Amino acid sequence: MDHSQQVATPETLREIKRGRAVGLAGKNFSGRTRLLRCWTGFDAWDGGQEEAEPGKKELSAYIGPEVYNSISGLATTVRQELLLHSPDVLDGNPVSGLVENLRLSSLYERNPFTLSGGEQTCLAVASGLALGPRALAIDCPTEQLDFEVKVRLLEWLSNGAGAGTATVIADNRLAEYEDEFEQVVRMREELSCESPERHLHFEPLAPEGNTCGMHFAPCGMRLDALEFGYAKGPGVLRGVSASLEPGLYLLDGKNGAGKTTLAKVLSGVLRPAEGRILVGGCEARPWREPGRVVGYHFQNPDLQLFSTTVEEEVVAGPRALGLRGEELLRRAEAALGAFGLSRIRGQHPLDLPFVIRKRVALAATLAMGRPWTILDEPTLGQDDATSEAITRIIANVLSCGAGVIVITHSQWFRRRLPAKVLRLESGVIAG
Amino acid sequence: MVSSEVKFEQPHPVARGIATVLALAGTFCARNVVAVGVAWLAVVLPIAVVAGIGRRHLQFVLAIVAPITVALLVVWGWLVGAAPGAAVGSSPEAGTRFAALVGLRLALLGGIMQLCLLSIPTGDLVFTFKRWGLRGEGLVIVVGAFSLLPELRLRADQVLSARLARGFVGKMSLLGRARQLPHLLRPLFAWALRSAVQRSEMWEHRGLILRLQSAAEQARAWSGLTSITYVGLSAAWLAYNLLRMRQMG
Repeated sequence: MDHSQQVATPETLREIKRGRAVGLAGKNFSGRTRLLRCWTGFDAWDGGQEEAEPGKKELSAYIGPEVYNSISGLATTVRQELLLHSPDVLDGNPVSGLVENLRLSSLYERNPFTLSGGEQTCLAVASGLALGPRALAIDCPTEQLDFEVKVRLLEWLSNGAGAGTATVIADNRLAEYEDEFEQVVRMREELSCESPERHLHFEPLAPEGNTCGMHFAPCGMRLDALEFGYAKGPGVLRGVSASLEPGLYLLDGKNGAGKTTLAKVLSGVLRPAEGRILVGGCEARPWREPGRVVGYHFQNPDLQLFSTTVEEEVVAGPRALGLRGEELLRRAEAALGAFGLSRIRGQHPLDLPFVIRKRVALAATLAMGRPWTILDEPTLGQDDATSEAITRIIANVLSCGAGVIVITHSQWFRRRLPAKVLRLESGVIAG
Repeated sequence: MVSSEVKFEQPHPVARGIATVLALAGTFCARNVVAVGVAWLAVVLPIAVVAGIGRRHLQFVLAIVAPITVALLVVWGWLVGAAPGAAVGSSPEAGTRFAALVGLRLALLGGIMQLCLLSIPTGDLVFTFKRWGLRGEGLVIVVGAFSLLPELRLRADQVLSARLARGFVGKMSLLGRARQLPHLLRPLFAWALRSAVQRSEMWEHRGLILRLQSAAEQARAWSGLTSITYVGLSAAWLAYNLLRMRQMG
């Protein structure tokens, strides 16, 4: 195992032998994505693109944090997506073992876009490897995977099963499973904190301020035999019952266990087929007025940003809840300051990098100041320093008496903030 | 979304294409309300049910054809009271017949197109389109469109969910949802642009366009009987309508 502090450079990556998997550590904006895109041939190295010899252009694959865009969009089922990348991937190809290992065989007839974030990551990785590319770069989506799935993937890669492919896995939580890698390289630290494309200087997060802005009195929540199933599908929630006092909860469960579905039911986006939700002892029907009791931060920031400026995005939620005047401004300033967004308040949210878009979406959700907030993978794509600050912001919200339910696969996060665990298994809360 | 659960024997793609063209031509030539009604009720609707797309066809008829037909009946049967070209109020019966004919032809045309495209099993899409003469980027665009529509619906649903969760939608009524439509456009447009760029890069680097072409070479067993039945029924429908046209001068 080579876990020295070797600096990641174009030369280091070029030297990675086929059949090896290397970990890449580094902060946000350290140039990690650019390095990986250049290595896989998606962008040109400084000094121009290396031209392959005519007729010898080799395949490569880059899987970014927006993992749904690493699914081809040319197949309507998981089976077809895999077959498109290699006709013998399901039988006879070395990757068929990985397909079984990542539990993709039970998803063959599903539309790839209806899979959970973790399942999409497994599909994107298996498809990428099925190609047998020269280089495969996995840039952060592994943060959405269960720990055991990550380890199984690495074991498979380390056993030389992907013999024709040199793989680099960049992950902000690399330290959690660093020992599994044969080699880890690190980005140079001094490049941090600046977006290379736009030269925007992002402020560090300032979690000490008052960011919670609670609008309602803290109250407990009781879930009473909640049931839900999607049309044409089996029941996802099969009698979820729990009694929750204000505080921090970790909603746990394997990829595809129904965590996001439960979050949507609690926030009122979906209506349960059976069961009741009691808030402060009274029956609540969140589907009648979604977002009033439970705020919900989605895993994917791109589909929850609607405004033309960062500031407008942050004030839109509280305004929709009826806040006006000084209280609205105070709430917006607190959220913008806490998430280090004050200097870019006039920017269009969709012009910002993924990591910052995620922060804007978080700020917008927490600015609503609901008695309960659900955060789906709040630290996705964020480096350790930013994640640390986000956990402090969450601790601040908790100190106001609010309830926070976090969905995350990050062991790092679990160690930082002790939480009561709600484990979702077979559609019910286990234990 | 293309049906992946097709419950009957599939015709050969070429037979599917020929039958569709003949059936569409026959419907354009049709002038008899009863014949069009019988063709829809006794042929297209049962085949759609057997092919597993009966519900989708009925949705199309109820959501699109029925409102148009009702509007046409009101205009030509009641307000104008005559068929096109005749004096106003001269024959409400002829006006009603004309409106019914247009409505039934629309149902029949839609049914034929749905049978042609939606009953293709997902695994046969590429092979079928290639047999219809599509190659290279054209093939990618058509196959991509089949996958894009369900994804677009899913993304629209996700954006609406996010707006609900942010408290932007007061109540989940049908009207409340309809009011949100303009707000869906910006995030959907941004998503479409971003994924188009990222996916086209990916297709190029993974050589997926070439792979799609070779995937099209995977053959499967087709039913000769279904192919002959499809083409035979369509040819008979066209011949009948051409004959009727000739008889009517």
